[in-house]
Amino acid sequence: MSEAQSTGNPDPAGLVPLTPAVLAILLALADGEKHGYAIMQAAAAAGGGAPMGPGTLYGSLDRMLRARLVAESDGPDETGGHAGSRRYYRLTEFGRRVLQAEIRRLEQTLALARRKKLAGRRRAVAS
Amino acid sequence: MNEDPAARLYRLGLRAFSREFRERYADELVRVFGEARRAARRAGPWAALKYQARVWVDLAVSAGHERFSSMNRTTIVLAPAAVACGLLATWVDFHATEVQATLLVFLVTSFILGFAGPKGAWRWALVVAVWLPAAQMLAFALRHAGPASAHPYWSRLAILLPALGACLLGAYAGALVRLLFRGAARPTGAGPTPE
Repeated sequence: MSEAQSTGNPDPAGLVPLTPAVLAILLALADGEKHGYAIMQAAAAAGGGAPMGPGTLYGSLDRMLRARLVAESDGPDETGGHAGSRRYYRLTEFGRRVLQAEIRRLEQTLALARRKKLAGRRRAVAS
Repeated sequence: MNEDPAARLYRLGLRAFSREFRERYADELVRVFGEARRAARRAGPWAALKYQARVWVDLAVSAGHERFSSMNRTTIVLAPAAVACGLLATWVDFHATEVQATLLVFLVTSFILGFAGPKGAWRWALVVAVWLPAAQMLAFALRHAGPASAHPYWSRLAILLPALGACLLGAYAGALVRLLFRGAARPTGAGPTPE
């Protein structure tokens, strides 16, 4: 049984569209657990704009924890000055499904924009 | 705790969030604030200044959002109702010839609010009461009021005391009646009655 089913989470499609902050945090956590500042940096890199502030970050994380999109994790074994004091967050299985639902929605929007010639064709990526 | 003045000021600003949120995230927020501030300072003074401006706007907006989302349904309904009651009392006071009419509106509306939301009934009293002195001062400032006294603003601000007194009386009477109702309803609903 998946995490989402075992915790009685609703249909992921019911939670989309996501706010830009929530989408950026989910994307930041998609490749592994991170602490707050690392999430902020990854979210800024993904968004390409100004980084979100600490209040927005932790306000969003608090709501996402309650919605079971993310969970706290132990984090890697650190030996530095921050060892054991930082709080780490990871994506839950339900959070991953919500992220995928949001990306599907964005793909549909982009496909519509392309049909209306409002967005360019995807360029082939040289492998 | 060895925090620099900027971090201490930011920690003070975190009081805008609810206590529950602060207890959970304050240390993390201050840490991230410090890390992002150091990164901005490395990018130059203009970036540091922009960061400071952005982080305080972010704090105000996110604290407002957090406060609103942590409100229960009763507060969300009763807060605008209390504002409306305060405005009603102000309107009555500006149009009635007797002060008793205003006092009656204060007492009745605060009673209803206290009955509907007995927990923290003083909040409803305060929200209902502030509008009358505020409107009196505004009216004086705009020269729509009567003759000036020696201390026109202070004398109008002093109206808050009887207004608040009446509202507190009404709100806590309502809260008391609600508690009595609850107490009266409890023995019939649950538990064995003594022989």
